Amino acid sequence: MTATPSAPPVHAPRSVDAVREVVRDAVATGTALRLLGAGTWPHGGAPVLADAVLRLDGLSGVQAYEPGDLTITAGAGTTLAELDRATAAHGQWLALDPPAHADATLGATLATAAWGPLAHGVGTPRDLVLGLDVVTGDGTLLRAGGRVVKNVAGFDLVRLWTGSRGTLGPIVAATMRLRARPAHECTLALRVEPVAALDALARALRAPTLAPMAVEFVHARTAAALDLPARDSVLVRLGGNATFVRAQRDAIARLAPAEEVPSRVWTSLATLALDAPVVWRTSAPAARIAAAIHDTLAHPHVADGALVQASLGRGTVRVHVPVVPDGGRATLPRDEATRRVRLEAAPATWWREVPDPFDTPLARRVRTAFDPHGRCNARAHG
Amino acid sequence: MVAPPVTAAPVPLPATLADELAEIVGARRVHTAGSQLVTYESDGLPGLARTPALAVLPGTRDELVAVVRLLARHGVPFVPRGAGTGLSGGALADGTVLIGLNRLTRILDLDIENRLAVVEPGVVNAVLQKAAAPHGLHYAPDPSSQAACTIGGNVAENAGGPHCLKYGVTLNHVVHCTVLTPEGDLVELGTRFGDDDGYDLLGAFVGSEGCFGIALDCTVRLVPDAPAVRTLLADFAELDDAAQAVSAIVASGILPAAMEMMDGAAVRVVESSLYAAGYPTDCAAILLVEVDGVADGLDEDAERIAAFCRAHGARAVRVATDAAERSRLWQGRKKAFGAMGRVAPHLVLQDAVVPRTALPAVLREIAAIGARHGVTVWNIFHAGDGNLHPSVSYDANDADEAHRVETCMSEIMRACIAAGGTITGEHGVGLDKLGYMPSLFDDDTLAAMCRLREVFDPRRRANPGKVVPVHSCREWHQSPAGRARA
Repeated sequence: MTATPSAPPVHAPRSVDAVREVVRDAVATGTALRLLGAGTWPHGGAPVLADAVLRLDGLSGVQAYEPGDLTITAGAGTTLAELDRATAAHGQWLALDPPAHADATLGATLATAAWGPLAHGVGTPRDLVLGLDVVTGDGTLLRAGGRVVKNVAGFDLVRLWTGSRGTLGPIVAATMRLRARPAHECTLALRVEPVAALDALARALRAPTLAPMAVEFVHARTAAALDLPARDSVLVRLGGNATFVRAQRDAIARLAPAEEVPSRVWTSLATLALDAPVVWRTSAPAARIAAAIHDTLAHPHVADGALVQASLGRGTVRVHVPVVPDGGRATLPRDEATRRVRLEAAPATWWREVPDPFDTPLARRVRTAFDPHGRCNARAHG
Repeated sequence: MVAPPVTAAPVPLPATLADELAEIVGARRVHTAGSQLVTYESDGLPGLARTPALAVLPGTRDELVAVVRLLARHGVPFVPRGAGTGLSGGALADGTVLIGLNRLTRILDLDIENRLAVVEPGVVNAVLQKAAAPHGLHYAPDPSSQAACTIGGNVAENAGGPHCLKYGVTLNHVVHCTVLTPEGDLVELGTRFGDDDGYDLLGAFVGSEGCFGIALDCTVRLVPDAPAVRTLLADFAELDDAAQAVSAIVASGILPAAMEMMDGAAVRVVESSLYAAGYPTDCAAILLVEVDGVADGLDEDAERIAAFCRAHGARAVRVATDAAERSRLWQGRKKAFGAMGRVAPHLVLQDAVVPRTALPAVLREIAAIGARHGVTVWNIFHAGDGNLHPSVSYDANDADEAHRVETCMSEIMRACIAAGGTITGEHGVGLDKLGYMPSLFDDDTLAAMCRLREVFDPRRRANPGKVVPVHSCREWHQSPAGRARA
């Protein structure tokens, strides 16, 4: 445990029992715990109370990996980079590319249910998680789900914890479904010119004869930040056998002026502007994504150098605003699909302006059931 | 098939209940006579029968809401039921109220542009398929009972099917449900468009086996029909070779749309039935493997699969050349349980999942267990997922045979658990597998499941006594955390 006068003390337990001890101790002493993975997500969502910090990156390491089963079990503190290395040795991967550094942890990825462009073809963490070991807010260890790829035994605590943002207690280990790494890959940057052409291009990319792993719009400033020509583009990621990749590449290149770009562009995209002080997402029906992008590009905060990307198939637009606008006042959009905006990072006062999804009547009952004392990642209402 | 399940003691119904329900739905839609109730006393699983005290069949969403709110006012437990094709005894009502949902059959919206359908819970899976088909779309989960089973039931059970290997189970295809909680509250779970945040309560609801409430409507994804399909039939002289081939294909990373296995005994039953599909009757096992998607590169994948089969001893690998042959190959698989049902009066069918590398060893063990008890176990299952369906056709009225079958099935389930597997991959726990839950989950985890149930259903009135053994919930209430909340 280390402490400075201004910062809360940090617990970094190295065993599940030690995690339970920290949680039980917090309950006994009335300590509000802020749960972290490696702490590399600079803004882990809404501000939370933190009398003390519970870091889970000490719970690292692969616990079981049977390549023939395409499943892996690892401690919550295992980094995505470590999982990538372990699985690459067998031509496999954990096909998640959340907006995060490679030293982000598996536990944080699951706690935030964070997803990236690959969700288009592979799904999100909820689709890939098979089992979780978790500690409840009263210090009880639960072992939910399993290690098999299909499982409906009992009520689904695995889905409940995925995306719970630490509010029910920490995830300590997870079993994930893996995929084979594609034998061949190719990434195309399609030029969207004029931007009005985006609607037709987005529709064309939804044809049943095309099967990309990711289809991500990046607007001109974002493209430049990725070392691509500074113009509105759609990045398309293809993976499969050689015949598939070649034929799909040719078919997609006929839809718009296209250029093959190195696949490291996806890593750059995942780590782009992670420290931006304002990050939000809005969504639209997939067929209306082009209109939603146009609305976003016209937003007052976006004019000031913001970076915009959109997962066309999932209908989600993501905005990074590099500086808090003048006066710190929020002008938040509300998307047409859900009448909501999802903040990922924002000044403390902005959070009050959006409904807290963890504060519905049903969500409060969930919270009380598993963290009855409200000690884990309790929302700070400042 | 283990110790007789402990169910919550039936609560006597208020004397006026039938009349009050009749005021909502009309007297014709409230069944109280024994001759009417016998329809509901079992589901697709033979050997378990429970008779409801009353069955009510609302015809509209408003009637359903009024029925559930009335039951909540009276504190009466109820069991929701779709088509009753479930295989775990999950839709049985023991002396309580059964709510039949199969009159709520409207497709509320087909959003072709966004590839979504909004349906009432009683819409039959195959009816949705038929509605989507003209638009080149389909609903991916395809349980064998899809000609009869309902989307509401599929959501409750988190149903699977052969093509879930590539496309995912029901959970991966439901994006939103309007749910009526057992206390009569309406809640929106998930979101039709875009991504959700907050707790994944939709994820918790899918597969909750009717214990968390009733979906008034479900929004599901529709998937474009694959432009190209290749279906292969591989014929093996040794069961073990077929199992090894499955493991090799899985490990290769090719993701077939479906990979089904049928052992020789099951093949011979199918081939002697009217569902004969032209399978080789002298085989020890067949593999039915389908790859689909865009045409580009598909033949290479099919070739690699054929090569894996040959390398593991397949005597022949046949590729269906047209749609007619493909559907004939599938019919044999899809109707296999129907064919088995004709052999003897009763059919018992299990639903375990094992790690896919464990398939060869587990299949050997199943054969040994069957031999030990003089029971012929048929294996016909979703091999690509490791989802076994060991099945036995027998006469439940023969006490000795019934006992041997029961012991055999129980040993098979324990062998699957010991191999690192689970007790159900797609049929649900219901009543049938309740007894196995404590061998899979520890007391704290079972108690946590009870807590989750009580978030939706604090009085545990919806489908009482299913999924989690009652004693686990009692123990939770006796624990310090439980006492604090109780």
